[in-house]
Amino acid sequence: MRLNLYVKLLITLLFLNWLPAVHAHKVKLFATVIGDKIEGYVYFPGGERAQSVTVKIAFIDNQLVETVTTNEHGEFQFHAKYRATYRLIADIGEGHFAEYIIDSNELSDSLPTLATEKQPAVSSPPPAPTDQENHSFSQQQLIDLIEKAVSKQLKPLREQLETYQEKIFIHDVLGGVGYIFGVMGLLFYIAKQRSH
Amino acid sequence: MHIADGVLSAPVLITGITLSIAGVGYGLQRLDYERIPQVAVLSSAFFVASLIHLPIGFSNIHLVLNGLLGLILGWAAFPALAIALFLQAILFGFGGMSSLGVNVFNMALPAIICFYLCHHAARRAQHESLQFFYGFLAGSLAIVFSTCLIALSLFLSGEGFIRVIQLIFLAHIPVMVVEGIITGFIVVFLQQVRPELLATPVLSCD
Repeated sequence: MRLNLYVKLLITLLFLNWLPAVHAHKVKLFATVIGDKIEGYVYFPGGERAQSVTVKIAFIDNQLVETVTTNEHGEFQFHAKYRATYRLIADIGEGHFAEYIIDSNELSDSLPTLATEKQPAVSSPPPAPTDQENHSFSQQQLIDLIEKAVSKQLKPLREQLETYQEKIFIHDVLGGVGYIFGVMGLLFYIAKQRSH
Repeated sequence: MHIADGVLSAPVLITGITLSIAGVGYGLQRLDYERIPQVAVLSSAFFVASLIHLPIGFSNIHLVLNGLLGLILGWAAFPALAIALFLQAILFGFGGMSSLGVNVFNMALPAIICFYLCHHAARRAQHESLQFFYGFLAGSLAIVFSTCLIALSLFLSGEGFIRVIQLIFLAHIPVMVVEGIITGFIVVFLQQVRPELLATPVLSCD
């Protein structure tokens, strides 16, 4: 069967799509914000964590803020000093890199924004320590607490969404190939009708 | 390789759609009944190949395979590429829906040019290195012509031609090499295993 050869070619291509080496450039970065702390991890699509990877933390205009390195669990953290949009880039070399954008809205409201910082320091007053002693929270502390709680709840959802997107991609690939063969069947049908 | 929506001007889009419909129609009309599965499998191969990104140095590229499709399918490359590109557009957003016609034409015309340029020579070549050479030629020339057509489409839509062609051409040099090598190997392999595939094209264009 001459078709066999093509089928083999196609299966090879489909199979290649799953090989980790092909997706190796698809290193991924996931990050969440808790208050003023950005924490996250670098991983490969299979789920394996990337250790000792340098993660560049930059502002959205690519101005580098800091570089951090992932620990043995592939995790890293960073304390944001400004309420700005951050771009996190994990570069493992050879053109393999992952990027994640942290929107300024996700960061705590208590942080100074970049614009205010560029003007002569308008320092935000630190929360009064007396509040703690009174066992009542200032509004700012409450907001921080709520933000912390919400991002903790959202984290698993975001992770789920990422894996879901991976899955959808594979389904679409298979669906597309199936569609092409469906069209083939249709052409066969039309050709058969015509020959009668 | 895939032009997105909102980049090209209306006359270019309309020309692309018209030419593509004509090409697909002609390809379908002359399509052999027994060759339909072959077209489908190569169409699927093209569809999947664009999704596999190979890391090369500073960037990563994906295979196009339009040279191979042209070499084996001849005019049937038009419908094969049209279906695959349509699916890539709706499923993955590779190229826009309105620019589908232009994209089909930009990839299918080079495929057919390569068919006329290399098919005869590739199937006649006795020596392996010659077979590889013609396969390489078809694979890389298809990319060269495609990039020229893309640059032309952008130029006709008002972009600076020289700048655009420089950018696209430079970005595709690794693709040309890889594509040529892969097409070359496939041609050598086919000649050894199934020479009749190359000996009997989908359309007898001679």
